Amino acid sequence: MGPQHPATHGVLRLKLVLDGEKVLDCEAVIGYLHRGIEKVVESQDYQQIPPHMDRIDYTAAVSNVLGYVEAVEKLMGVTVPPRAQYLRTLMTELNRLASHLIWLGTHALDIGAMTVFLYAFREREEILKVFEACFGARLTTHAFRIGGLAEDIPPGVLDKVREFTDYFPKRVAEYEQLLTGNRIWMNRTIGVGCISAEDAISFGLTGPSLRGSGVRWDMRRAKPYAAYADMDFEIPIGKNGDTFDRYLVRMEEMRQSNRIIRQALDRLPDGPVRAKVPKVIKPPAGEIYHAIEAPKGVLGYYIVSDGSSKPHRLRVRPPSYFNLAAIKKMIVGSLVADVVAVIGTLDIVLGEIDR
Amino acid sequence: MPEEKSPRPETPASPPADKKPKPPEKEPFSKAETLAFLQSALPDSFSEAYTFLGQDFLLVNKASLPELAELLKEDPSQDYALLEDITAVDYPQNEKRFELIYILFSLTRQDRLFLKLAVADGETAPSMTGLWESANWAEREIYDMFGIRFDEHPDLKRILLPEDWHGHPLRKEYGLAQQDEEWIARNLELIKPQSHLGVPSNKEIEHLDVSQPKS
Repeated sequence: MGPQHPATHGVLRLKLVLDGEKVLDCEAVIGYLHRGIEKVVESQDYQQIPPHMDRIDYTAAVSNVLGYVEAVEKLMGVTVPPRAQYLRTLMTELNRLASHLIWLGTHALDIGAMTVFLYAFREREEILKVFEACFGARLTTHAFRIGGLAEDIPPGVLDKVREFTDYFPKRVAEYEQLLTGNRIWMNRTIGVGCISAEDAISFGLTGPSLRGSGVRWDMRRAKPYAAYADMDFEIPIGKNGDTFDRYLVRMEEMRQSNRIIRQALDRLPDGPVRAKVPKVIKPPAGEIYHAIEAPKGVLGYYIVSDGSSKPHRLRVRPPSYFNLAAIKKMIVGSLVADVVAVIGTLDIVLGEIDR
Repeated sequence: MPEEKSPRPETPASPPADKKPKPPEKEPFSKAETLAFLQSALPDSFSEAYTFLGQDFLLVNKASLPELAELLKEDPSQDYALLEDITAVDYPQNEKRFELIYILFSLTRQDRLFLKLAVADGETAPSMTGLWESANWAEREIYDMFGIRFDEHPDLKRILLPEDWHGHPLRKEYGLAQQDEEWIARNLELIKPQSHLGVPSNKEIEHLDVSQPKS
């Protein structure tokens, strides 16, 4: 199956061994989108790197850049002003919604529910408009700079975001109305792609894919970053670790993200949005690992600095990479048609896996 | 319409920070009970323990790495159940040029532990696949990018690059624009080697006229 296949969300090849409709064995072949980002950034200044990070997971560019700039700030010992922290939280959660909406739309489309796709992209469009107003780009946003934001967000945007948060929970209810009790949806997702909590931990699954198996682990809570320590939100978990549970977890996460955005709007402090940082960033020699909860799971950056203006090594721990590695465990023994459902439920982005 | 701008918020009169903040330094290992536990259970398993910027590092000896990792994973007092990542760093000037870094996470303690292992060029490292499934792809990527081999890995082959590619790109001596020219010549239509020219270099490729249809 693949590498060119509409359900693989990029360029993924799965070698399947079949007995009729039954999957006996599976091997994922990746690397078609390998761009050598980890090598390229070794020749770039720290300030030049965020645009590369945008292109790792292009559906969640804001999250990617957040993880990177926070790692560098940690290494340099920079304290980011509170307004920037709150704006970062707000934008990252909007990005989580955008990413989950892509997942919802394409996942449902793969399984055969066309309508949800159109609804989900309608709301996503509103989020992208906010990004365009704030950062001048819709997808590869280059949202944050080391030390804060490039500039304060333009007037009027916050009202738009507030308006959005008013109606968004109703839209989530609409999606749920279309899917949650839908007989076909339930047949296609309940009991499909099961993975136990122990297996999920052993495979290094993170994000909603792990929480669907009942492990309450979220980096926003475990190691709070940006302004998450001030936010009040719940971490939804599933029970059975199947596709349906992961679906419910992500739907609830969208509501929780909406809550976080509301809180960030209500408490947004005034003040500068950027700390003072030198023009040429030269972090002291040393190494840092910083991980955030990206929409797909734990996104980690391991940066080794030798004191110069370019990193000695920058490792990205992409959540999708580890999530995809579990696919064999999840689909062996099920039917070919379920493979598509499992790829969708893992919410992978190949740009992030191959880097 | 120009918006009425609120006066630019003044930067708070912060205390005059010293011009050059002190660079972070190694500190004594912060997890005292983990250290005491390991010293009693496996005294010779690591050569150094320190904390850097709140991260706890153990420099592990190669022979005792599997045992140490298993103990950290299985012992209920430690419970580092999750292998978050394995990565490698190349320091060509070092006698053992590669450093492998294992990032463990404990869900009960909500904290990380970093294990470091120095490996020379050509030396192998023990595979963690017996303990964690997540090590499988992580080690394959390190093999692909750095050429470090892992003992007893069930399926050690390249993962991101083609299987018959030559070279390991994240090594420092590997050039930024370097490619496996032979592989490209063999596999990509555009630049079929011409027998009298041999394999064209990248520079020659730039001057190839591709606008004309091939005969």
